[in-house]
Amino acid sequence: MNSFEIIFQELQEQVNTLESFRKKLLIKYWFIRVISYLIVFYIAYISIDNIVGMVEIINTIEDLIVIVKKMGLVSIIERMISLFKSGNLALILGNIIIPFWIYISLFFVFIFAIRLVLYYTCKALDIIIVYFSKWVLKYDLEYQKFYKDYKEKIMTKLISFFGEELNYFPDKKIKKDFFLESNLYDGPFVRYKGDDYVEGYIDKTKIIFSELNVWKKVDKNGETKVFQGLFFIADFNKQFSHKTIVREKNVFKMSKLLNFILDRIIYKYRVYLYIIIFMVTKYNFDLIHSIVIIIALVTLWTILKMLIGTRLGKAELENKDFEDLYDVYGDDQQEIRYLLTPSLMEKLVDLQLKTKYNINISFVKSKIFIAIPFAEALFEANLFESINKTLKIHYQLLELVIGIVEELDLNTRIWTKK
Amino acid sequence: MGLFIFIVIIAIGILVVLMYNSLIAKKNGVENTYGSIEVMLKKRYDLIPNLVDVVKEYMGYENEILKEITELRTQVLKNDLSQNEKVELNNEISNKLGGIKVAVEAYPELKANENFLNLQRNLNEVESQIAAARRTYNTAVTDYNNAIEMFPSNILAGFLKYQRKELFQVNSMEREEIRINNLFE
Repeated sequence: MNSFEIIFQELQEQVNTLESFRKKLLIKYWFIRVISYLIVFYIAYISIDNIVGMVEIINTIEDLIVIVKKMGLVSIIERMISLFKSGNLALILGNIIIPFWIYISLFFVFIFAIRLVLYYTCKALDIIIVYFSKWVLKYDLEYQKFYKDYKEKIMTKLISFFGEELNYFPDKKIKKDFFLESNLYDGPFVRYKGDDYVEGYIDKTKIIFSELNVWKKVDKNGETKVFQGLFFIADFNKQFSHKTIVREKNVFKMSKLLNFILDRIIYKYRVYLYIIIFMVTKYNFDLIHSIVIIIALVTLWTILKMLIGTRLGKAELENKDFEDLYDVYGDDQQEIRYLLTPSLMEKLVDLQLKTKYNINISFVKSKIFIAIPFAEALFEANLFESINKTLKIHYQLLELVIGIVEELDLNTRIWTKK
Repeated sequence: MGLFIFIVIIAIGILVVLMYNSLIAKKNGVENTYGSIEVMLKKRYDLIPNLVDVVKEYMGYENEILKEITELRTQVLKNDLSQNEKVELNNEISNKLGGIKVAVEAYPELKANENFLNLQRNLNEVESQIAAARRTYNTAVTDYNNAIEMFPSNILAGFLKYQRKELFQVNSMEREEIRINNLFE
């Protein structure tokens, strides 16, 4: 695998072209922002001064609503508003980069409405705004091109460096069926989006991965994120017939505390506990009562432990770091251990250390599914960072994902699966 | 007062029943997982004659190791062996299989033989499954031993005369297994 320097040299030309394009685009972006703020302030200024103008504005707003509805933008606006309301910054950032064209379109609508207002107030400014909005539209097209260029010219080459037999489809995503096949998440989904689809072979192992952004409906107005990040599927190097699911450890804080109390404190110091209970009860009840209470408490504790401990299909594995990170569920205890050998468990722990959020893994139908969550959109060109930096980030991300094949030794085909 | 004692006795009774059932489940769990090991070992025994057939074409049956392994296989299939004897014989078989893998290195045509390659893959898979079965058994045994020795189920276990069971020790040959598989590559 090539080091980053070599790749960077190969892509030097495209990177430089795109970088100068980016800089020009960035200047235009700021220009548009400043001018639009000026226009808005001016509008506010003249409308405050002009009461008659206010009435016109109100009439115009009614027209505006009709226009907006006609353009089908109501739901988009509602969604944007609810996004801002929900206050989840990562979500907002993640969603603003992608529908930037919507931002531009809304701006265009706004300008159109302002035009109507200004028609009654200042003809000259009206003309300026017409040209300005035309220019904004042109900027929007250039912006689209910038994004597409990065993906088609740079990302495609970058991915081919990692493997000759890898194919990149910027707009494709993993099929919903495959996502559901992993048994890691269940539907129905209210939104299933994604892009940056890669499919191909690394030596003997077939891999597919893409970015996914999946949401489901929770109650009447709420939606909750099911998964956002990289979803990776690979051909596993062993045959198996049952399902095994490795989930991030999800113990209620309360029950973890309870377990801790039961295990460490009460069990270890149970003798003292018995004595204390005995002494306490002796002074209030008679001897038989005390003994009975002690026995009842202890047996209750044992039963509690047994009930908390035994969950259907859960496996207790030998690697302590692994057990701290994950809960493992599966239909066949032996097959779970056949797949999760001590060495694989170590490697999965190492993989987890490289990512910020908890990964979930499952083994179904001879494939391994790895869900790596991310808070932001991936593999997108960034208007505000130099192309070099963006490229490096994407290179490291690809190294992580495609490296999974090497990391987990999936090309070692010494069992019956070839 | 009488009612209180009555309720307590009923409660303890229920708890005892739950404990008893749990102990039985764990004992059966141990037997179940032991059975799985036996199943996997049998798969391995079944592969040995094929292995000998393929290898002897190149190495010649006079080769000591092939004779030994065939002999071991016959022995281990007898019905009247104790658990310890079985374990020892199986360890011997693992050793011999390792020896065959090493010996095969000197015969490149054998290494490229289609049948041999297939057999090797099957053997590797069986070895991995045996290891997995043993790990599952160890978990079941640990569960069982815990239940027998921890209070209060140890009282009940004492009544039932349940004994502590031994864990499967990892054969040093199995640790070597990974290295030898790399040889095969």
